[in-house]
Amino acid sequence: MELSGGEQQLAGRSLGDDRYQNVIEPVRRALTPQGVLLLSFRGVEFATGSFFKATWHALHPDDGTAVPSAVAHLSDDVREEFSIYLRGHRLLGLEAVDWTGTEVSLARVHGQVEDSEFRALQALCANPGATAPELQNLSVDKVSPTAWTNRLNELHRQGLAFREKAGRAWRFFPIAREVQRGRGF
Amino acid sequence: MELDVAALDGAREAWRSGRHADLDRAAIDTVTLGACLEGACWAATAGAGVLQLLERWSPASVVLSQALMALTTTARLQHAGEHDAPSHELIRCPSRAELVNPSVGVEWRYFLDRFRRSLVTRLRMSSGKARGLVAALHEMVDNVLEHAGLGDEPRGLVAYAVTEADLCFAVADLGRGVVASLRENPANHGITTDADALRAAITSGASRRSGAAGTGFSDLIRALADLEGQLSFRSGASRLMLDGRGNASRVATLSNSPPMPGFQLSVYAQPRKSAW
Repeated sequence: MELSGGEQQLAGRSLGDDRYQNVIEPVRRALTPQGVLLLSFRGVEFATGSFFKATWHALHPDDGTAVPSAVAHLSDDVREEFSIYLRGHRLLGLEAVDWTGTEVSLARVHGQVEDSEFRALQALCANPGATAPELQNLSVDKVSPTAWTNRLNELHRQGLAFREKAGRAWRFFPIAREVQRGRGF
Repeated sequence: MELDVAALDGAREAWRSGRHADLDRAAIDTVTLGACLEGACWAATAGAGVLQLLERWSPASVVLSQALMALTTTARLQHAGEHDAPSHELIRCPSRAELVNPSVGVEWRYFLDRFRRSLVTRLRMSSGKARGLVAALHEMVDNVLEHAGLGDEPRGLVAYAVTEADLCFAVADLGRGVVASLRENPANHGITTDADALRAAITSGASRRSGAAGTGFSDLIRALADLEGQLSFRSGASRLMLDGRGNASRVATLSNSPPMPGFQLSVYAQPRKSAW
């Protein structure tokens, strides 16, 4: 969805709330179970932290499960502000680089991401649909299945992975087929 | 003498203590942008005597004269031309509809664009840096709508002034002030004084909203990070000044300010003195 609405600058909580209610929320409500919200900043030259707080933070609440989403069409200035915003709030976010009508094929991770978290995301991208024990078996890291479960649940909580029940276990799927680290790591 | 925000605090204190004759004798040569907007807030809340005093001082500054008219009358203000890069401009605070709807807020967007153009043409500022400052001003105006408690059409002023050597912008409202706003958030119930509220909001990101810290003031300070200058924030009976350059190295000074409704801020920077 396009967030610019004809504006080259997206600043302020008021505008962010307006875009969230009138542009993002209607699409979010219609999102399919494994759908990803793509927030396009096409035509936007600058966006501020308050705007991201009203939009990205609403999709990625501190005390709940995030809506799988990614930003796209970022100018250099918008990308820098997005990254500063994420790091300031100890969040991470995906920038979609390449996508089709059905999936995000390549995304960059911005913000604050732990090495272990990034490795878990990469492992998931290499093995979509894996369970925590399966990833543990494939991994050379000496990490317990419980730790894998925690990492995957955290990716799910942050909106970076879907999950579906498979018997007593969860199967996890990344929201992008391939992920790279963004700038600033 | 120059009437800046500190001198205006002195004048307001003198008025409060009945020393009107001293103020009548004062010879004002220039008035800073921040003092123009704070002066108009004072006139709008303190009655006819103060308005008359400030009108006597207004020949020293066309902006003071415009600010008084904007805040104490409903007269229509003159706008600069659409494609100008003016040395200064003052408008009333835009409404929420003007901020969020481009077709309603055409004048507001022209105002911001003229400010950006003035920064680029008068100060030869890079377009990226100018965009950051324009966004910071927008954030400060948005704060009035979000936090002043004045509804969607707040009573307040926005102004900028740009020369070949320096820039200034200021935002002033007549709302409830920072303490009352912050205390809407249970996490801030320990904040009871204007001084604590200013410090918490400006330097620690405290917000009336629960959850993530406020970003508006940090965006402002970051936009000014490498510019030598001074920021003034006034609310209730306190003023917080930030002096110098850089996020960490600005010197914060709290002082008393005679009580007045609302929140008033002004930013002054001298890019030519800064290394960029």
